[in-house]
Amino acid sequence: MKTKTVYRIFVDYEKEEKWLNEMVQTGWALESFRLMRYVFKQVEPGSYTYRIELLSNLPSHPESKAYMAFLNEVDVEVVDTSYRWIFLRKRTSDGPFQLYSDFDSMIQREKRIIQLYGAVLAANFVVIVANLSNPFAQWTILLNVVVVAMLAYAVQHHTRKMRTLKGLKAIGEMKSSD
Amino acid sequence: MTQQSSTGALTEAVYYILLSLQVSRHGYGMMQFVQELSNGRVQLAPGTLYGALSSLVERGWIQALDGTGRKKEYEITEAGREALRSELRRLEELVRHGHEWTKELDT
Repeated sequence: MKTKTVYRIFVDYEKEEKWLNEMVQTGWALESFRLMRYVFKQVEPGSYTYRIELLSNLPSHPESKAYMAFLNEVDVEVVDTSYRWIFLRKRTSDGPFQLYSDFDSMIQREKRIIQLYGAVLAANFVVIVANLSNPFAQWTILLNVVVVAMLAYAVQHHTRKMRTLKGLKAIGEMKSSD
Repeated sequence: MTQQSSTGALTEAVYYILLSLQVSRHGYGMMQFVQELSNGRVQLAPGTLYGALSSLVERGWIQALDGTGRKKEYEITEAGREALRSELRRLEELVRHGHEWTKELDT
């Protein structure tokens, strides 16, 4: 069985999910993930749809376990987990794969994302301030500034998305074709 | 994850889940039932369905059955039936008003 390993860093999961789906279109399906390291297995092109989900708790938490057991029941495979993130896939032959089909649950997801990105952003900011007076930390600071800028952009993007969802929800139910 | 006040309208997902659970079903069965009943118009995505089921159990409108099967089954409770009936009355009122006030449109 052919495999290949790719090293990449993503700040926002949306781009990561899009990339995983592009990879599977070219015949490479994600098998495992560990800190920047993506291992792919060769498959029939387009045989899976990938989704990335952010859990409310760590994967070992009973609530997370119950959710993952439920996903397995409905033909969704948990490919790998990383902190509170889980990589999911469904065979395209089993039908289309979206995780959410109404505004409420989509708004909740955006909230979880914004909270996590906000916390990581704040932690990086603290590191910058703590290192300001340290002459040996210039490069660390530069790296942190880049991370903060990218996260700030992601937070803004998801905040805007959440506002749009709330606006749509005020008008009515979601159409399944959306 | 699905929120509504005790007197408010049900979300479409909750309404169809309650309808489907008049006989006991597991998650996959609910998704299929709802899709077939609505001719594919209403799709319950797994994350949304799971969140709604958790909320409904918490509210006491449905309950999980202690089965031995691999898949967890649920069924509606008496409180859930009452919620469904009250929603049906609300929907009937909406439909009646809709017909009464759009008569000139129905040519």
